[in-house]
Amino acid sequence: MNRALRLIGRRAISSIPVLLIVVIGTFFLLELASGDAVDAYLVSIGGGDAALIEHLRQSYGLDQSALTRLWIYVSSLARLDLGWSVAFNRPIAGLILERLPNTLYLMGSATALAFVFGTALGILAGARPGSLGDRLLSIGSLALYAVPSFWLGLVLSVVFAVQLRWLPTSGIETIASGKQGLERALDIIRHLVLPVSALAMIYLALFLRLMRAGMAEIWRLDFVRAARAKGLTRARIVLRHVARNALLPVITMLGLQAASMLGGSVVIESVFAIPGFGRLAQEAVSARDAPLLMGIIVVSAVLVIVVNMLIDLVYAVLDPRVGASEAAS
Amino acid sequence: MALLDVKNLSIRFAGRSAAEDVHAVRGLSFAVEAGQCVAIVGESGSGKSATARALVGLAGPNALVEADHLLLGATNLLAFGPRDWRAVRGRQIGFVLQDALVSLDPLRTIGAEVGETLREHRLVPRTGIKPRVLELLASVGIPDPAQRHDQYAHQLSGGLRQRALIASAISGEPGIIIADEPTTALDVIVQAQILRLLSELKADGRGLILISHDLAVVSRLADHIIVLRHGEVVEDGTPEAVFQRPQADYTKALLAAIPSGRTRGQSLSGDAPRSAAASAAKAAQPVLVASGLNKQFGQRHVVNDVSFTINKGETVGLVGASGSGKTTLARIVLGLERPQSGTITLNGAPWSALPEHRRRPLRPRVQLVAQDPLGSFDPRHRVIDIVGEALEIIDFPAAGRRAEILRLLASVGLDAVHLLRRPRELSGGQRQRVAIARALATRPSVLICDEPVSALDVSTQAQVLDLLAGLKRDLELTMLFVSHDLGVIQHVSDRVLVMNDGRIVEEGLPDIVLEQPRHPYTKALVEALPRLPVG
Repeated sequence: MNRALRLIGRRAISSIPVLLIVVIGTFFLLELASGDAVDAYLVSIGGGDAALIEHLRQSYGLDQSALTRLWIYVSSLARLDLGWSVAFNRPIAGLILERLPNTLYLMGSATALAFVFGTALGILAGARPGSLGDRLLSIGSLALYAVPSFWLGLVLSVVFAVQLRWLPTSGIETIASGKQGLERALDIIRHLVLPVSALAMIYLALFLRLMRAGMAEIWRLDFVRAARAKGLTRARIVLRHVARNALLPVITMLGLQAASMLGGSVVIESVFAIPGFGRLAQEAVSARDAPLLMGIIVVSAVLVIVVNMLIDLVYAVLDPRVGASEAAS
Repeated sequence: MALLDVKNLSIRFAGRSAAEDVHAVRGLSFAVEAGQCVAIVGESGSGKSATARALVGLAGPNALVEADHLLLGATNLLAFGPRDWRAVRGRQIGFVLQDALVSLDPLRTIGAEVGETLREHRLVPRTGIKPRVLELLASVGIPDPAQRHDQYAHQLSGGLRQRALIASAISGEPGIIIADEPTTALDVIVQAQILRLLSELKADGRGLILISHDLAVVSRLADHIIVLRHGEVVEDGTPEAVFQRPQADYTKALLAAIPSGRTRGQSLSGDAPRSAAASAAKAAQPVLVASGLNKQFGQRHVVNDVSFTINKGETVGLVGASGSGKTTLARIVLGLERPQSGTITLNGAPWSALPEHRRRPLRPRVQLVAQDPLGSFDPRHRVIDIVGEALEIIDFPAAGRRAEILRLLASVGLDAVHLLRRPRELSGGQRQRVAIARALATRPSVLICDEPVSALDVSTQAQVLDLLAGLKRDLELTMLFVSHDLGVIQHVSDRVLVMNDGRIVEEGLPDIVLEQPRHPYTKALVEALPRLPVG
């Protein structure tokens, strides 16, 4: 356990420069984009005179040099202050805190479902590589993987929400229903079934294929032959030796996947009109709200770093070889 | 009654049609008695491993195993289904695999791996498993069993892993033990220990089936030797008969191909008889001079105050167990590793002290032939690209390149047919020939051969060693030859360096160092060497 804690400590320290690079990189990228929040505001109110523009720019600090603004941003970030959203006219931190849970529910449950069912089906396929069951699962997962998530989302919505009317078509909960506690939670779950299924089904294919490929590889190794020579049953060889070893690369994939799930949720959030993190990013872009976009990117970066740190921790628990070389020296 | 009686065994791997079937083994018969050892010896592709697997029902789904009879005691193994096999494996037949780092599950502790047979077959009550495993670990000579029990495969040395594999195979008290190349990955001293352990198991009254490519290894243990070639039995008899009066030409060639001090200056492969040793001592002209080399990794002194000289046209053999520092020393000589102190000069000019940008133009002068040519070639390059790249480095005029490549290939016994082949399409011996051609392309002052024949079969090894000897004579090659195999070292070297724990402990003429060793480590090394009982 000591080994795992040391690993986490080291990763936490090394993540500070990573965050700084993300902040500085996105800051200058946004700087290159033409137009700022004042331009977007002026468009929306039909224009204004030079004095008003000057005044607005001054009040948002947009008249200062890029380097000064970067410095102000980084130093307020260090105090955990994400700044003020021009478009929503409220603190960014509160805005993000309001939207983030929706996306986390969506992403978390989709990833968990995809991982659990993907690896389980992968074990089924990889238990007998080349068998009929393996082939059917492999073809099925490839077909699923080839489907775009928005299309799958729309089809599910048309069938289960519009025609069968089993589930709501959009949103995260019934508006102004006044539901509280368990009732409200059930309502949110009902709203999430379709978007979660759409997201999970596509990523499930990925985990399935990775697990199956890993197992096919492990079957060829000598310790599996040794296990068979000990007289073990096939089921026990599969679960105790083959699947366990094949799981390691899948765990790594899980960490990488968490990042791309953030991106994937933008599409699904739009299809199902869920007020989530991805939609917020979209709104920030259209309003040229640079501080809000920065805040979203910084929070996403922190999320990705934390998830990967957790993955590293899990990996260190699962694989005794991790960190062994450092422990020895 | 014999423990295991095999009569006219044949193993066939079904192809798409009868004509494409691969006959791995044909007409193999033998019997294993309690307290006896049958050795099955052959080169790669001889069918020896297929035989071993077929005896535990693991020949694979495509294998057709047929025999007049295949009896385990009085039980007919040919009639077995999967469930019957599971009951036999581990309990009546133990299987010891070659340690290749993946013979033990990397995610499970040694204790869990060794105790698995006990648990699976419920041979001892649950609470009795750990004490029994500790007993087993101690019985195969693993020190500190309690500590090792909870460690993982990567925390053990090769010798300890091999012992653990044996402990696992004997845990169910099987009457028969099949050991497939049990010492191949180990160095001589550890190999001798493992062979001693196997002979103790034999003395305990178990029947042993030993599978090996190395006649010398089985010579101490076997009561009966079977030599296989392409799945056919070519020799079958007691060790005395096989070693003293071999009947088949193949066995004779195999015995003659084993390098040793006696074979120095002679051809091993028998296709090019040569006159006596051409490498008589000439006026010494130092090419590579190393003095006071030191290299530490953390606390470990991997290379400790090493000095030596290689003269023009001389082959210096560097021998030592794994972990002795010989690979690091070779890397320092190649200029891939910087020594912490000490210097190497090449042709009288500085070498190890040069900054990389000044050494790079000189690199063609020191070339390497590595152990695993498959790993040292780009798999997508063809032979013409592999050798051509070396010529490109020395700015060989593009117009004459193809002719030069052909000349180099001819010098290593290959021809234009091989130009467009990729590494995978060549045999192990051919690959090593390409590696030598590539190394020679830049006309190096020194050739470093790092275990160049360790991965090859005996007869292929003989051809490659003969090739190197011929090139040495014709081109006055200067070589540093690194190997763990004393026989090979004694065969090729003009002078020998013995390395242990980072130090050169003994140096001199091969016959003197290896026949009358003075240092205790060299003595241990020489004693551990399996020798053929040939007159």
